[in-house]
Amino acid sequence: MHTILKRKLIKSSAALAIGTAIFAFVTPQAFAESTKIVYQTYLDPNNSKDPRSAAQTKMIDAFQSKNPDIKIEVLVDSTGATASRAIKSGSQTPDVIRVTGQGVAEFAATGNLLQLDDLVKKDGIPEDDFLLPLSNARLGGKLFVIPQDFRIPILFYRKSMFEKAGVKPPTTWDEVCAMGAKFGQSDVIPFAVPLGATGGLGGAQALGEFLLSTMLPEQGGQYFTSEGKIAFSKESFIKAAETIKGFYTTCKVTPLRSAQMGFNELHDALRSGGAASAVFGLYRYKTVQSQLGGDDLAWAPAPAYSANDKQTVYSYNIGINKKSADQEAAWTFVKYMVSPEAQALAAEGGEVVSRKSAYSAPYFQSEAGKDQKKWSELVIQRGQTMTYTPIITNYHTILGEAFQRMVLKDGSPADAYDELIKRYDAALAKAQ
Amino acid sequence: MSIPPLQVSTNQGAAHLASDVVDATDNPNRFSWSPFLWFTPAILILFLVTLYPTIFVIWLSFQKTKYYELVGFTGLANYVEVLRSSEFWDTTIISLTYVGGSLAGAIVLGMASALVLNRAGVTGSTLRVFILFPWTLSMSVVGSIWLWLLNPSFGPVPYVIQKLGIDPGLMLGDPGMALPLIIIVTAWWSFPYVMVMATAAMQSIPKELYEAVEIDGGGAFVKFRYVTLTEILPTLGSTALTLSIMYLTLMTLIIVMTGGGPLGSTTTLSFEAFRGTVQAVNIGPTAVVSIVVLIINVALGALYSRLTGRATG
Repeated sequence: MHTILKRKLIKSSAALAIGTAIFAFVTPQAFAESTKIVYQTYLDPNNSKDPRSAAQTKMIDAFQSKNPDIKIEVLVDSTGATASRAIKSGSQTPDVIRVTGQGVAEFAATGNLLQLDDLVKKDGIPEDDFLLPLSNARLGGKLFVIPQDFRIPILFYRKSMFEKAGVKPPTTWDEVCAMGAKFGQSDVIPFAVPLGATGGLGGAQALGEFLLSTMLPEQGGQYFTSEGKIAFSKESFIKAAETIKGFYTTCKVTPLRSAQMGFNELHDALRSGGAASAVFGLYRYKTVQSQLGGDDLAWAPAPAYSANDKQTVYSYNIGINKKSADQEAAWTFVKYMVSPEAQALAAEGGEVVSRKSAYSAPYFQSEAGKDQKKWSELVIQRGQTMTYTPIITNYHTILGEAFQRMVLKDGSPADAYDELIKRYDAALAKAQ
Repeated sequence: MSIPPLQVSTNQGAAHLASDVVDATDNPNRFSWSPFLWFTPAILILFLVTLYPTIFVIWLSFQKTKYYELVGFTGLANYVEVLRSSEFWDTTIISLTYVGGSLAGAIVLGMASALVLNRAGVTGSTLRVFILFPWTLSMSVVGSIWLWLLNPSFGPVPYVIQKLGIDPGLMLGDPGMALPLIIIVTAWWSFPYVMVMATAAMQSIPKELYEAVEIDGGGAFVKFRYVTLTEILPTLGSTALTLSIMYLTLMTLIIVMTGGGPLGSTTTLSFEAFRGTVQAVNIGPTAVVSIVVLIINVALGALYSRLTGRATG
């Protein structure tokens, strides 16, 4: 009797196990009918403190409710290193990536970014509905990415420190230089110029992004050719180098301790009040304000050789991995992410979104959207885009060291130029 | 008397095993796959995790690449390029200075704290837990903390130095000071490891040895020189080698604190290998740098094995 019961129990258990296994095998197959798109982004959906993350989640949710057959899987990649490795190694995932304007040339050089011209044309995305026309995003006449938001360098400054020194926000480099005498001997850095290599993608990125990408190309000129060769002249380099060296030496507006600063130290100096001003990325403005800056932090358009000169902006873009297994679904997602509807949601996170038509959203009438609206106008009025080199991090390393040598070792601007050209040309030749 | 079924079964199993043994004894030349089968998972994991990447890097060092795509075989060209470049030798000197300096700092601090706390009873045990704190911190956290401490604008360290009437200079921004400061931070982070290892070794020294020195009229220095140091030297040696291998491959602190600068003064071989992999289009020369690090580490590892007696069992 006991033996029969045992056998029944064993049989029932076996049947249950087999049933469970079959169910477990079949169920995912049934769900797997929907397409999965892996979206690489630096914004972590679990970061509740970053409003941009919340906005991103809203956008993805809205997309998925409109496209229930496409599931978006977020791949958080805070430094962009994962996307860089994936694109460079020809991996199938992520399907959709975010890449800065400075990195597009490097990514496109791998041949693993999908060209989007035909798709944009087919779906009638209006090229002039962007703060800067879509043609600016083209590389060698080809469109590999679409801008999601624009970033123009702005002057961050501390109101109380400027009032105490009796200065107004400078509009030209000469006015920056003149600030040195007004501040006099002080523990505060009147105007920080970052030459350091910490933070960012590598090298002196902060120096390149906030200052030299505007100072080196002549007004209306170019930074690099589409082949990656340096397009700015020796004269413009020497003019920029003399200006920056002057800040450190004759103007005494930038103490030597500023030379070490990279992205992170510059951020810390601005939020702690260690620096009274610096040209920095608008995307950090609200963070610096919310940390220690408070109401004392203010912004103004970045200084230039002449007030109202063009400023180099860069965009954060979205693109498709050419090796993606489902390019159609990836394009459906990209198309939505740059649509005015999604862009209005992104704006709530604090971005200066790229589509002009998104600025009619009610958010921009609110107090929260006021600065973004002004920044978008600044992008339209003074923004210019540049072609970058495919070895941008290498270039920033060489550039930073040339400037550090000039400032810390009292080198000449001409020597800094020679060093840059010699090392950069060698690096580019190796890369090619 | 009947044998219970279980006992019968056991006996049969034993008999079967016994017959296997007899077979093996009878045919000593008979090849059996079974020992290899048992080792297969371990060998497979070893191959996939350690050997394959190493072999691939060696293979890569003879190739020209376009990012991660192999473009063609270049023979020894990458080696010639790297070994002929003055930057490589500068970087090697920086690496060796970094390893040597950090090791000296960690050994001195670790030994000093082990000696002080070894006979401090409960207080010593409590303090050891606190001293272990830096070792438990993530390298990026350590780097960020020291970046703030050494900040020439608002860092407490330059502030104190200034109050003492000394010009603190640019700290990490000074090409002449950046490497010594990174060495100090590395030593601060890793000395608790030396302390733990040295304490463990000290506690296993028989008390009779100290008593013998006392009977012979030896003082504290003699005890330290001829008992403590002699007894813990093998442990200290293997600890130093473990740390050396770690320092040579360590780069998180450098990434966070200086990014290899200023003017390349903190660019070590491992940092260069990392930067080259991220920045370079042709990563063949970077693979050569990695192999140089590998060779130095293998040499240190061999020395470590010899010192700890593992090579000879």
